[in-house]
Order: sequence, then structure tokens, then C-alpha cells
Amino acid sequence: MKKINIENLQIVPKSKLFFSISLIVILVAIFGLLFNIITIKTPLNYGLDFSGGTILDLKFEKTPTVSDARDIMKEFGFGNSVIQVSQDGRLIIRINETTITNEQRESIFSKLEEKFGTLDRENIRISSIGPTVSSELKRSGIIALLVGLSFIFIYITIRFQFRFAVVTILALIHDTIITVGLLALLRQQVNSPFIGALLAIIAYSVQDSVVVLDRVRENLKIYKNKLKYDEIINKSINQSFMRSINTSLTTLLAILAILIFGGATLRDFSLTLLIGIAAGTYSSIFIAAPLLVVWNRLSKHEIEEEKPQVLKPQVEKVTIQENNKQVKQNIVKNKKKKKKGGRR
Amino acid sequence: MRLKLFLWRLIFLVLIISVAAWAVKTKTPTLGLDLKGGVHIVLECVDTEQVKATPELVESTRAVIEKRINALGLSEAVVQREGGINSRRIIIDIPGKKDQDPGKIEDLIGKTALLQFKLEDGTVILTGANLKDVRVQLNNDPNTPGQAVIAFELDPEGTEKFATATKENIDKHIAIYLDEELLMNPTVKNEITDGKGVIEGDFTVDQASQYVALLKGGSLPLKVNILSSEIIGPSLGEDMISMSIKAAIIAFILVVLYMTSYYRLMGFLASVALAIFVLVDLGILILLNATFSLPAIGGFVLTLGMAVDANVIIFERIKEEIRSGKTLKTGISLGFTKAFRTVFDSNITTLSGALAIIYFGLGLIKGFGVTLTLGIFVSFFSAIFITRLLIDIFASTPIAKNGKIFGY
Repeated sequence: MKKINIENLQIVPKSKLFFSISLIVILVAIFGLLFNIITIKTPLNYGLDFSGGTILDLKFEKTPTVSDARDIMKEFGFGNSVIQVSQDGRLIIRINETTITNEQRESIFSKLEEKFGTLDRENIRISSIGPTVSSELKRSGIIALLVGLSFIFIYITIRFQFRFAVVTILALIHDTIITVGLLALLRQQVNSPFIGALLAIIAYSVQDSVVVLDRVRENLKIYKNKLKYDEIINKSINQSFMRSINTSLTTLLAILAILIFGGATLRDFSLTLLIGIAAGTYSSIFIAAPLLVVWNRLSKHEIEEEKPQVLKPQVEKVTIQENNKQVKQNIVKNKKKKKKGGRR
Repeated sequence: MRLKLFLWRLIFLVLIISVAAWAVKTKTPTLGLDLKGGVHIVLECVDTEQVKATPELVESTRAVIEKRINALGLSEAVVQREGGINSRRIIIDIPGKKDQDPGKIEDLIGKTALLQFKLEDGTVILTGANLKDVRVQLNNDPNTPGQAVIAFELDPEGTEKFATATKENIDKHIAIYLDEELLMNPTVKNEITDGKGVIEGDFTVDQASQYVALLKGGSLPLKVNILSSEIIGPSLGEDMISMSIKAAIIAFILVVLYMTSYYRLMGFLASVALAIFVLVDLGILILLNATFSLPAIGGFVLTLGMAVDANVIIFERIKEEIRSGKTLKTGISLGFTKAFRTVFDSNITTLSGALAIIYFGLGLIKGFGVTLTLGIFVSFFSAIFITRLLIDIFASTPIAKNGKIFGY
């Protein structure tokens, strides 16, 4: 692939630009969440799983119209239901009440049948979720997210030195805010698949950062006396650039297939994954590693101002650690003993 | 020696493929409710003033519901208590059938048939638990032809209770409720000691028969509330299956096209490994008797895209090694070893996410966690073992000399 000169992308020197792009998207995302809190009282457009209620998803002989259906629902006192007609002509009615009796349902059906022809009873979906279950789903969704996040936090802190752990977590927060915020902005209805997708992207975006930061760590050893810190980072990003792009792209292709052909039920799932993985790829290339440069600059600055002598020993300390690790790893490799080296 | 090892690897691969192929071919996958259609209802037994929902009563409630559903000829239905011994929840799963209106099924289960005899102050003196026998009787009243009454007979305990209550409440009302609906509110004329009586409502013969069937199957010892219910028509599920199969096939083709056009022969071999991954992954899922729900299939398609990630990481390494002057064979060997840790680590993060999903499994989402977890394991195996084997085979052929075709 010689179309783009991927060996020499100026990512670190232009990091201000990339940080600003992220910042703007994050602000838009936060705006989306706040806007929803003000207008619909919840940060996200909760679907049936989280808000409770009843959904009637029906197929009639004729394609129904929303206004006709609304007139009928008004007669039953459900005038404020959310009524949609899907692309394949299904009538989807979402009622806030859970306590809709079978008799009520049957009379709604026969009224609708008068207007739109026979109801295909083999092709219906009626879901109702009471307040107990919806709040349980919400709670266990949040717990699942927290547990998943703490797993990953623990893993990152064990796996990386402090600095790397912090930038990975920052990238993670970046991806999560953007994903949730953009879904809020799109007013995409979210159900429990959303939680699953969110956990998956959190894990996946860490994986992306791990790939880039692994390369940074390696290069810090190789080039420590030959190149400046920011040059090493830029080189590392360049070297892992195609990897990051290709791993994400193949995954995005699969998700795109679900989004386009997988039907409406998995829309929140695939949309979450799509946005999240795109954001994760961006952050692993343009945010995580460049943040290391910013950090390095800031800490250098601080030290130089206060007590310049400390600078050298500290850098050496890091490299000694790295060397030790390398030596230990080699020993381990040679002796084929257990892998656990002197990480951290 | 090398050749021998090589052969063993090949034999192992063939073995795995054949087991997976056998599983996929002979066993039918278990489909989730969202795909096969059917009814899924979660009930919760609640305390009333009279009866506390003890574990024993919850269990007998469950048994009654099971009996009733079986009486409808739905033998495949599963009625179980959710969670631990103290759980008050009952889950009903009824698979969908063709030519069946699933809404009607819910209708019949929904009827709790909780029969209550109440005093004027609202005290419940008797419930359906004390019934010994119920039957339909035609109403002899010529003014209301075609109407039926329900004749009942109480067990000894109920007879005694009824006798005491009627004795103490002469000239007062004793109301009879079915599912909280007032059926009749007669005045007690004299003490009833034989435990027999008739319930008059505005019943047609059909309605009365339905109630009798429900009461006979046992009225529910406890009041139940429907917490959630899901009714999915069988053909809706069929549409979903064909849609998700389509999505999976398209995802596969896209990934294969991309990998092959970018990594040439190596990419093509990774695609072959991906096809084997699909087969093995499916085979194991089926052997594990995992439920294929829509989110589970979503997870499966997602792993399709993620499965080649390890290959990408390894291939980029190989290319790098070769660019730095290594021979193809050393490059391949170094590429796989050096990338191993990155691949391993990156899988661990995704795995922790997937396990969190399973552990806090939110209904159908559990299926997503399961397919994701298994996909991670199988794809790891696929990248490290299958792709490696295929590449090793081709690395010793003349094609390997041409970097453009081989992909380095």
C-alpha cells in the first residue's frame, strides 16, 4: 500500500488539531445528553427495557397510517402513545401503561382491523415490561458496566506503567462519552443490547490503545538515545497505524452488515458498536499516544522549573525499569518459566 | 521431525473441522424466543391480606400453571421458578407454533382463576384452594336461556369454614370474586353445612366451561402479577432468522474481500481460517446447546469482524520483519512470536467485557456475552493455529517468492 505515505504521518506535531476535533465532538455529545435531559427528562431515549410499558408491533393487510392509528388509540385513551409505521409497513405502537388487559388489546386489534384489514397474527410482537423489571434491567445494566469498567481498569493498571494506564483510561472515557452522547443526539432508542454493545466497545477500544502503546513501549527501548520523546511516539503511531485501521475496519464492516441488514431490533446494538469502535480507533491513534507527549512536556516543564536535577535520574529510573523488564523477559523466555516478569 | 509435527497439526485441524461440521449438520441449534416465536411471561406471586407467598405456595402456584398449560396441549412449555429458593417469580416459556395465535395463549395463562369468597368487611373466608370439585350446570331459569352456572363442592376444611361463615353472617352478603371481579353477591339465608353451592354469573356455557377448566386445573393458590410478557409470532421470528443470516453472510464476504485485497495470499488464507472459525465456533455453540437469540447472532457477526484482528496484527508484524531484511520464513516465525503477546493481551480486555455481560446477563443479552466469549477463544485459536498452519504450508511453495502475491 503505497498510496498514502503511512510511514510519516505528522500526528504528534498536529496533535492540537486532533485534540480539538475530539473536544468538539465531546462537547456535541454532552450537549446531546443535556438537551435530552431538558426535553425528555432522561439523558437517553430509553426503550421498553428501561422505561417499561407495552409495545404492539403489528402487520396488517394494508399499510397503516400513523394518523389513522392515532385516532383509534385515542378512543381507548392511549392518545399519547408513540406510533410509528416501519419501512416494511409494520405498525408499531408504544404505550406507556403496562396494565393493558387482553380484552382491551383484542378490542384495539379489531378496531385496527376495521381500518387496515386483517391482522397477521402469526407475525405479531407484543412486549410488555412492568416497572419492577425495567428498573431491574436498568440497575443490572449499570452494575454490568461498572464491573466491566473496573475489570479493565485493574487490567490496565497491572499491565501498564502508570502513565500509560492513565492515557488509556482517558481514551476510554473519551470513547464512552462520544458513543453515549451521539446516541443521545440521534435519539436512538436504547434497550438492553445497548449495554452489551457499550461493554464490548469499552473492551475493544482498550484493545486498540494497547496495540499502539505496546509499540510505544517497545520503541522507547529501541530509540531512547536516538530520537526525541515526541518523535518516538509519532514513529510508534505511524508503525501501528495500518494495524489500527485494518483491525477496526474489518470489525466495522461486520457491524455495518448488522446495521444495514440485521433489522430494527439490533439497531441500537449495531449503532452503539459503530460509533464506539470508530471513536475508539480515533482515540487510540490520535488521542492516547499523543497525550503521552503532552504529559511528558508538562512533567518536564514542572521539574525544570522546580528542581532541574531530578530530571535525569527520573528518566534513567524509567529506562532501568524497562531494561530490567527486558532482561527478565529474556530470562523467562530462555528458561521457559512462568511469564510474570517485573511489570510495573 | 518438522514434517511429523506438521502432519500432526494437519490431522488435528481436520479432526476439529470434522467434529464441528458433524455438529452443525446433525444437531439443530436452540433458537431464542425472539427467533422461533412464542410466549415468555414472568409472573410474580404477591402477598395478599390472607395468604403469604411462602416458597411452598409459590411452588404449588407454579405447578398449577404448568398443569393448566399442559391441559392446553402445550407440552413443550417450560414453567419454572426464577432464581433461588426464595424467589417469588415464575417464568413461563412456550415455544411458538404455526397456525397459532400466541396472544390467545397468554389469555389463558393470564387468567389466574383466583376464586375468593369475601365477607362484607372484605375478609376472605375461602379461596379456590378449598375447592373439591367444580362443574358447569345449565341454568334452569327460563328467563335467561343459554346461561350457565358453576356448581362447586368444597373440601372438608372449606366446608367447615363455609359453615362457620354462613352461620355468623346470616342476612348479610357473602361476595364471590373470580380474579378480583365480582361475580355475585348473594345474601346468606341460612347456614350451609354441606359445602355445596352454585355460582351465578353472566356466563355463557363457553365461558363457564373455561372457568371450570381453570378452576379444576387448580385455582392459583397465590395472586400473581405479570411483570413482563413477550409474545412473538412464529413467522416474525422466521423473518429475523433470514435477516440475521443475510447480515452474517454479507459481513463474512466484506471481511474476506477486504483481507484478501489488502493482504493478498496471506489475507486469503486468513479468510480460509475465518471460514473454519465460523464452522468451529458454530459447532461449539451448538454442542454447548447455546441459545441463538438475535443479540447472540449480533455477537457472532461481531466476532466475525474481530476474528481477523489477530491476523492483521500478525501480518503487519511479518511485513515489518521482512522489510527489515529477514527472510520470509524467519519473518513469519518472528511475526507470530512477537505479535503473540499483543494478540493475547488485546483478547483479554475484550474477554473481560464479555464476561461482565454474561455475569450480569440481562435476559437475551447473555447470549451476546456467550457468543462473544466463545468467539474470542476460537478466533485466538484460529489466528495462532489455523492461519499459522496455512501460511506455513504456502510459505514453502514457489508462490512465496513473489511478495506481491503473498502479501509482503
